[in-house]
Amino acid sequence: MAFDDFNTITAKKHYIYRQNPVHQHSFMILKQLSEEGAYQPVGDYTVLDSEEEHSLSEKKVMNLVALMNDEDHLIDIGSGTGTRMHYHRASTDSPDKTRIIFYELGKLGVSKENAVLSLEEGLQDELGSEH
Amino acid sequence: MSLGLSIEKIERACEAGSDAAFSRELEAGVKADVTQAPKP
Repeated sequence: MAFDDFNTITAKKHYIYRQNPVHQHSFMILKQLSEEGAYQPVGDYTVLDSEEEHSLSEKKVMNLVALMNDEDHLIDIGSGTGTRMHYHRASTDSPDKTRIIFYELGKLGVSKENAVLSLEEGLQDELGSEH
Repeated sequence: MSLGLSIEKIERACEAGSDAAFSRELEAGVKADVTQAPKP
């Protein structure tokens, strides 16, 4: 690991996640809205597949949060699972909200709902550069 | 890129969560189905 990588990893993140204290299969997504400010909830990731291992769900959230922080190092979760993940963007009541449903396609050829990500902010593609 | 989520990032998350070998197998299967489809 290069020194710069270490600095990147230890630097304060804009987005973080926490286990939802009242929902075992849900993680809260939090964002630091201002410099030195406290983290505020901006969304949640709820696992719909009750058979999925908690550690695997957490790795999926870690990847999403890493991407939200513009980090390139993702955990390769899929190798050897024999499944493929895909998504559907569900409609919301506001363009400033995002709702993504993740599906898992296995060898049986049937997709099943895996998780739902809800965010109180729009996608960059539509908002332009947002910080 | 900028902070937050985008379609491109969601696609990357899906890629990291997918079995690359299985994905290739699926894509090859779809191509085979298309090329072998009977003519009407």
